[in-house]
Amino acid sequence: MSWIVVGVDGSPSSQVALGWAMTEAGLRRVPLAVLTVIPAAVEASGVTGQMSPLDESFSDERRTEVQRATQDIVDKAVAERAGQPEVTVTVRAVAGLVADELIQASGDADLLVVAARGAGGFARLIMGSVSTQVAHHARCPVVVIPAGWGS
Amino acid sequence: VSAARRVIVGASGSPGSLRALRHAEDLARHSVATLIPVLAWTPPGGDLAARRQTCPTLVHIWHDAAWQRLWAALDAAWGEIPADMLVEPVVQRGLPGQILVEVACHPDDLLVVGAGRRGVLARMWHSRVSRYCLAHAQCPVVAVPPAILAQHAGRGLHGWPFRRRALSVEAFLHHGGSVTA
Repeated sequence: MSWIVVGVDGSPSSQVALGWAMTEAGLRRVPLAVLTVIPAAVEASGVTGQMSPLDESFSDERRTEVQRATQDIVDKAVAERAGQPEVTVTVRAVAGLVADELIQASGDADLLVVAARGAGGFARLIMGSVSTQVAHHARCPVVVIPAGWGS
Repeated sequence: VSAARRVIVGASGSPGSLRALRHAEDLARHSVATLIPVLAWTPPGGDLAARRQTCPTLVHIWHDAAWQRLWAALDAAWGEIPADMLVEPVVQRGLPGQILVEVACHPDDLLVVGAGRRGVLARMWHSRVSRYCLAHAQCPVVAVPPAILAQHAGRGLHGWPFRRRALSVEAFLHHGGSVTA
């Protein structure tokens, strides 16, 4: 069994990534899993710098709410590509460290699709890049859609 | 948003790039795209040294050697050039990241690179090309991870003989491999 995972956070660039992933899933005739990660509050160990999410920082209501919002985005994307091959889409929202959850989801997937925000220079130095982190640690091939692509 | 028309792949001949080549072949096949393996070369000793004393004969030899490396890489990855698709190899002088981004200049392109080695020390020197491509490309970039066995075997300090152990099925499964009975 194979499928494609796409990370969607609601930003315009992630919606472009969703469109790309749908086209690819249609070409390969495989199901598509849409994953939204709610960034959890993080606790960093003072000794090792290891980051771990705090469990109490999110609730089930919040997750349901986010999942509904993602479902709306997916419905809109499905409506936009009417006439092209049908794609089975599942939506899931989880809370945790964004890159970690995406890397975990890549374990048994065929392809992982993410969008780059396109932060450069100082902003990138401070915040890092989820897409770069995912691309270098995922277990399956990762497609990174550049910011501003397709517009 | 349409399917890719050209699949550009970095083909340096490293183990990671061979995996990228095979993945690019799959991608090109199911989206009916032209496959463009690219190898970038720089003169031995670097461009600065070559600029001090330019020698056309040497440049010619280096260019030919680069073509030979590219054919060897394609041979190692596929055994033969796939007959059911258009393959247009490119050899250019320059830094790999810049050349790859330059060749993959159209938004309809797809750039495939090996994601490079993992590990705290390895990433200081390796996976620079993939990082450059991820940051600078104008088209979607596919980063293909190294093989599970390559990650396990290790090189450099991790590849020292006294650290080598037989690979058990448990360890293989732990690294994400699958076993068929």
